[in-house]
Amino acid sequence: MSSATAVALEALSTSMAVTSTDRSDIADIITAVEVVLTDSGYSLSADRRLALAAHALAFSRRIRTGEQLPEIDLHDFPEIPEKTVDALRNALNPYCATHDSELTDEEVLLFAMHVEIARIAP
Amino acid sequence: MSDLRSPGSSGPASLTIVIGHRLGKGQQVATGVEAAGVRVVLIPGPAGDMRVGDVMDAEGADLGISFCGSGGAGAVTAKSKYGYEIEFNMRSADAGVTAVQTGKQVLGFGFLDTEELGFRIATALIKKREATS
Repeated sequence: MSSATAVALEALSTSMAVTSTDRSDIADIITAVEVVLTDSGYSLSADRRLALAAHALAFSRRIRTGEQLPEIDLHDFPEIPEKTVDALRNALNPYCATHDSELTDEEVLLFAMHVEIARIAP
Repeated sequence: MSDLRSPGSSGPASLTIVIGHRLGKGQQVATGVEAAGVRVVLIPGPAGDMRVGDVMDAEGADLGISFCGSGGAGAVTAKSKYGYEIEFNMRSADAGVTAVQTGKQVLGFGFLDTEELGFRIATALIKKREATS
């Protein structure tokens, strides 16, 4: 776990209970997303890393419990490069596979927005 | 009749609610807030939820509402940067009303966009302000 992620987890913990399982999962998810960011030439500010950590926590809990996102119209998402979406799907699928869960298009696109935001508003 | 929007007014129009939605929506919620007579600032464009704290600070807002999978990203960021009291992972207007009543300043919801939500939260904020003034 990077020190930046550790800082984000610490900040997250001041807002809600974060278990050791949560921490481990969040770190794995952030690492996966950061690979895509770095490969794309982008990076996360401390604020955006915290936002990603909060998202990762909610996502990991949904994966572990089987809870689904509310219905989202995929057309509501902004246009995101397919390369980004594919890279994130590849990066996050291993995490979902360990929980015998399927990564939905909506979940991938929500993560893709973090990359897209880093691109358009660094 | 006094202009409720004039400076120094203590009516509902003196209150401001900021709305940010991950997918750039929130228009229905904003309509509901306005129907209650409260000023609303709807952050345009995608990832507005992550800017709720920043815009609240800039606008001197009384309440922020963040929408994404859990509303947590916007709420947690707002708390971290500006110290707002938050509640997130909410999925109903009732939960939002309770959060306002208990003094929360940034509310995080899943993907909702209804006038009822905006109206009820704005009304709860007005009542809270009246009770404390």
